[in-house]
Amino acid sequence: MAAGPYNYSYIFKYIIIGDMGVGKSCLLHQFTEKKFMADCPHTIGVEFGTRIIEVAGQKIKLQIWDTAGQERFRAVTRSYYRGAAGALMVYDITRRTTYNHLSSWLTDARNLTNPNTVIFLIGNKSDLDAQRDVTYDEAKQFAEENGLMFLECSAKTGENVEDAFLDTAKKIYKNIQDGSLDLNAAESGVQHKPSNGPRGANLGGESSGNKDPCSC
Amino acid sequence: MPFTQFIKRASSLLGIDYDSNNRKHPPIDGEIVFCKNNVCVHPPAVLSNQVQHFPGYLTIKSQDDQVLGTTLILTWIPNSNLENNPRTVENSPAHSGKNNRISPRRSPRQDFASEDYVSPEEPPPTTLGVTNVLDETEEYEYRLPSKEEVHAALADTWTSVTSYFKATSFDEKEKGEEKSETSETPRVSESTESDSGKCLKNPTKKRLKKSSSGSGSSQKSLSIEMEGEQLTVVSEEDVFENDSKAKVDKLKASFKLNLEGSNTPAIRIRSDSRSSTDTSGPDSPSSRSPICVHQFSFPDNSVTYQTSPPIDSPSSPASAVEKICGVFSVDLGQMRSLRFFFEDESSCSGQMVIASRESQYKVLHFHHGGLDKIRQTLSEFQFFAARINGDCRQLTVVRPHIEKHVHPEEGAYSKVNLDTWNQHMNEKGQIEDSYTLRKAVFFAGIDQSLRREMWPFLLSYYPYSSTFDEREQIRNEKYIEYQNIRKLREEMSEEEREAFTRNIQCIVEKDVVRTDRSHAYFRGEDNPNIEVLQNILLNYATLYPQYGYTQGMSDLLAPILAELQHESDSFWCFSGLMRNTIFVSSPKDVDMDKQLVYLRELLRIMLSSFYEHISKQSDGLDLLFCHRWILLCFKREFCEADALRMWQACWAHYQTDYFHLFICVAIIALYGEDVVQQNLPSDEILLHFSSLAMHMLAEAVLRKARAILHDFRTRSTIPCTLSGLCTLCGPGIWDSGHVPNIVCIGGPEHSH
Repeated sequence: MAAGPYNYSYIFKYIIIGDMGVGKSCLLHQFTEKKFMADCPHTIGVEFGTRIIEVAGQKIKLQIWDTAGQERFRAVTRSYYRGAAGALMVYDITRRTTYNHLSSWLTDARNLTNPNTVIFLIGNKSDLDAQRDVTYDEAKQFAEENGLMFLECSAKTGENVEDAFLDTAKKIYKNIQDGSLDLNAAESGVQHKPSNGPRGANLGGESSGNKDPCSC
Repeated sequence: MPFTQFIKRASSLLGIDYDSNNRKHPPIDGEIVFCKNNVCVHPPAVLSNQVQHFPGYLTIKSQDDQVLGTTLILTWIPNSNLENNPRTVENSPAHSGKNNRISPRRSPRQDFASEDYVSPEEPPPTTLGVTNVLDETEEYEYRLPSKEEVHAALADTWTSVTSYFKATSFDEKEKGEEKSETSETPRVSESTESDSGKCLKNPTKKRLKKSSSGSGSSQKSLSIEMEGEQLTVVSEEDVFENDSKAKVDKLKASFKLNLEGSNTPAIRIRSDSRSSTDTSGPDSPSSRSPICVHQFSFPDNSVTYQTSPPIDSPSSPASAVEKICGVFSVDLGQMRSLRFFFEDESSCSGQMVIASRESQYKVLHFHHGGLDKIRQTLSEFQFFAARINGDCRQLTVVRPHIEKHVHPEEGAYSKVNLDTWNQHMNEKGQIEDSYTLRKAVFFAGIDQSLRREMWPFLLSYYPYSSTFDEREQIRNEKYIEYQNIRKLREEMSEEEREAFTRNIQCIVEKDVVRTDRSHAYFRGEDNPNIEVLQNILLNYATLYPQYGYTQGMSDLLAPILAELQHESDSFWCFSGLMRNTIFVSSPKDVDMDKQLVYLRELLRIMLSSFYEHISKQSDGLDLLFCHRWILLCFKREFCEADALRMWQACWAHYQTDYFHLFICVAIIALYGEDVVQQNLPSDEILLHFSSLAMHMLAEAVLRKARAILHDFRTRSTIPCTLSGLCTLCGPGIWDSGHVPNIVCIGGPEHSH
């Protein structure tokens, strides 16, 4: 039951958060489809994307939850964050308000995820440099102060989009390797091997693996 | 003319009682098998202080039916309709549309006034030339100039009826109307006696009366006749009163027995008919008339009328009365049973109670006989099984097979198109029977070309009862009002404007440019319609600062604007949508919570295995996978045409105001089996259903949702948590709706 794109060792759960209109869905679409989607409808509730990537020779399936910028039901946002191994926190470099809201997004992310969740700050719309409202340096400083990874990206041109998603995965993988992320923890956001039991009859329709997941 | 019909006609002309037992051949499609004038409908007593009599004209017409061979369409039209608008019936397109005859399953209302109301110049094919003899006496008795006068008169004692009729004058104009109506009197094939059997008055006498009433001495002849009429009534009353209360009790007891003997949990005779059902004074006719002994009251858990105003007519109980006393038209073959309650053994007056499969009831009062005749006529039809239960004679509808897990009325309606729409509208532009119309929308949808015209009604912009003129007026007034709202927004103070821009405008601006951009109406760069969309949303947020703007609103508005293509009209329709639909993009958790509580409970009782599964998963009961379904009413789950079908089915407010929740249950019922079988956790349930978006079969889902709604409504008990699901929408044309017994179980859901 080897070979093929559906053979992967891990599933990482990501969430994308940030103000409305910063380009969360477009980033996801650029990453999964390698295309810019103009007029991408606003997200209601949550939407999904998946892509299989390779880190250090290991195939990893990214399961990405794309959330609504204006979430009305705080009670359920908890569910989105739960079990996320990575969180992409997005602002729009042309709108300062979206940057100013980062601290509240960060508070949510910290409170609702586990301590090992990798948080990656993305300054989107880097192609609109002429309309820039937030400098690279101040965002970089904010990221460093809060221990976040940071890149400016453009969902339109695709610049740095791949890197943001991959760097997050690399960091998670590193955490697994050095033992700081416990895979057995209930909400690690990582599944080793495509789960045990007959799961995953969705998103790409991959058949469930038959290997023993985690021997411990 | 077929020989049998010739015989029939000859027999009836000769006054020979045609032996109905010999008649084995089914009637021709469209043939009228029974008609009777002055059959009364009484609005439930709670709606008014005293029993109101709404007399009307009853016809029963045969119609070809795929399953039964022949079915019967019973139609009751209030006299007031005929009076206000004697030509209504002729305006019915069914009248001109002979092709309707071909259709095997016409909706009852569709053709209620077709062949039965043909003018003499154009006799229908089924006419046998027997003129229907209307009882003029009764015509005058009930053909009252105004409702107020009826009330005034009925407030007097029964014995003073005569004086009332003396006091009520009929002017020449009214007489003219009477005459023209008489000339339009339907011609029918048989059973046309207005009062038949033992109660039949001498036809000769009637003709005499008729001629005298037409001769200008109507008042005198009327009063004489009324005295005659009154005598009968009084004597009945005397018998009743002399017979002591024992008989009444006996009657009541037997009714109760009969009804409880049936499978339906609904009707019980109230033990004290005088106290609660009739709140009129002791001398009022209602409390003394023998009819009132039989006055039904419905169980406490049945819906007799809206405590809160109905969705489509947000006015007073009067509108509920009008609805209940409006045109009533049903396919008897689709009913559960008919029961006949005779006043006493020798009487042919009494009540006929029609029970639908969903245990809704309609009581038709035969104050002037004819009940035995209608029972006899109906019992000849094979799809009725007769049963005698004490004093109650019952006909149960027997259908050869009813498809399981399907709404019994599935397929009985066709899409509402311009023709159907015009049929429902009288010459002033009023929709007289919005219930049947909404029902058709619920089952079959609306033709695309009619959306622009019909949506404003479904979205409470125009009341169904409004006339063309009134609608024009509403439109103008609302246009001005809209302009004022716009001004309000433009005249904000600097401070207000800043907050508005920050909290509302910048969000709206972001969303409108990415709402339905693939739709032809919003396509392309610098499309001016996007600005219109934006303006409406900003003005809405100005008018309703408590709602502001939430994501999703633009999705709900865009199809409306694209259809109406008018800013002010779209604004008001959108406002109506937000007001009427509970699945609106509400900024508050409580509204969504209410939906989810209902949905959880529905799943618990309708899809218990799925419910058990999700209740075992962490966050499973949050029903995350349903949120978008509810918020956008399935707009992202189905293609536009299908989603709009669902919107319209929800907007129809037929039997429930929460049809969207039944659609949710239907989707889960059809596509959720894997979830349980594969034991999926919450996350993957969400993934499972989101991957199904745009891949589900809308028709199957809607069909299933209707079946689930029917299943829900025919349950004998439901938890109290769901008691609100089917109350607001009201009983429509029926006297009573039905909700099952409500049981409070105090489950874990209550604390949720």
